[in-house]
Amino acid sequence: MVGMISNFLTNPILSNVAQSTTRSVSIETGMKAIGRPSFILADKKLDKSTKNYAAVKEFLYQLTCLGVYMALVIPVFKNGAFALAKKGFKDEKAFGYFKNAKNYLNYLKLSKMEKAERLNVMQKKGKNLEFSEQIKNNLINQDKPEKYSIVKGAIELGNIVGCVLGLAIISPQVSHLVVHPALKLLGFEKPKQPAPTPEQPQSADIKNTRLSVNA
Amino acid sequence: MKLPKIKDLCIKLGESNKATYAVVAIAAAKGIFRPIFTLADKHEKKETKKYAAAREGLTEVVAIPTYLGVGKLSEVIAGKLKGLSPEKMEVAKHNANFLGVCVAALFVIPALASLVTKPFSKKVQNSSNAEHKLDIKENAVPENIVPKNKVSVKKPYNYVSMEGFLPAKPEITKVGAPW
Repeated sequence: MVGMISNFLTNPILSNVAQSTTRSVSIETGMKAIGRPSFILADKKLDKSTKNYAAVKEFLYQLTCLGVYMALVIPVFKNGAFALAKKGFKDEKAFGYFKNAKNYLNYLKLSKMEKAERLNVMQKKGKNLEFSEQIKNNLINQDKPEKYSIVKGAIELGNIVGCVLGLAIISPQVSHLVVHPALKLLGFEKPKQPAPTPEQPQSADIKNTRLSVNA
Repeated sequence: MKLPKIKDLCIKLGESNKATYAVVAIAAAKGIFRPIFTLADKHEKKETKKYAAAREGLTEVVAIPTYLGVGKLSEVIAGKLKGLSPEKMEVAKHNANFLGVCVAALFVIPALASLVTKPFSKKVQNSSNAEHKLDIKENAVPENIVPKNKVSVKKPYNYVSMEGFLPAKPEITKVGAPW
């Protein structure tokens, strides 16, 4: 049992997910999309229609956040931060070895593998791996290739800034445009009716008046 | 902030990027901006806006210490595992921190947030009910207009119901018809 827990906690896949801001934030937002509506639905003091409305609204909000984050924030901030750091830290050679953030992340993935496995993967992928000579040498000759922490840190910092901007500022605006029409479409919100003019209620009253002659 | 400090921050994040860093930063920013956006919504009622903004703000206020606390607690629990090399122990603690964040987002924060916001929502509900009652009183018909003693009108002996003679649709009924 303890061995199973140890193996699970030291799993390299879990480690990769936990080290990446984008993956961990995406999973955390997914958890929120499940957890928060579930707790609203479990509230016994609220009436059913209010619960359903609040739960669906919260679910749609979190889903919008996740969509905005994955579609807009991840691609923009990952590459943006790399390019910005490359300009800012001109004295750092590490940035010169890689074309872009994707190129570095491919290298990082390979550098975490055992040497034999790494060489095997490199042989299979061949020309698809567009690394500079320095990087190829690192991967082929070193048992534990250099990680270039500053490059990873710059990408992660960009991702954190992107998360904050995307989830706290952009998503509420987008969700405002998306959530209410979606709730109307699902029948949780009534479409707004035009306010009646002062003359209309009178005519309506007359129309709906039933004459009852009791005497 | 100067560039060397950013450089140090980048190196530190590159060596160890905990899941709590991002989620705490997001919660802090959401705690500030989400209530502001809710209060700025022109389509909602004032009372609804106040309640929603306070609930959102409180949820994020609850979320920050919870993420930190549950993340740290998970690390401590993972630290008690035996038979791991120092390198593997570091990985286990890091992964446990991430799992702690997931547990916090899925169970702990929604549960705590519903506990914290409950008294507040009751207060808001009571105040809105009080306002509603006031409205009813203001719009109510004064009591002295309503007759206290009901006068019963007896039907005459030759009473004939007119119901059959009335048009079926009330729309075509004109007030002040000859009958």
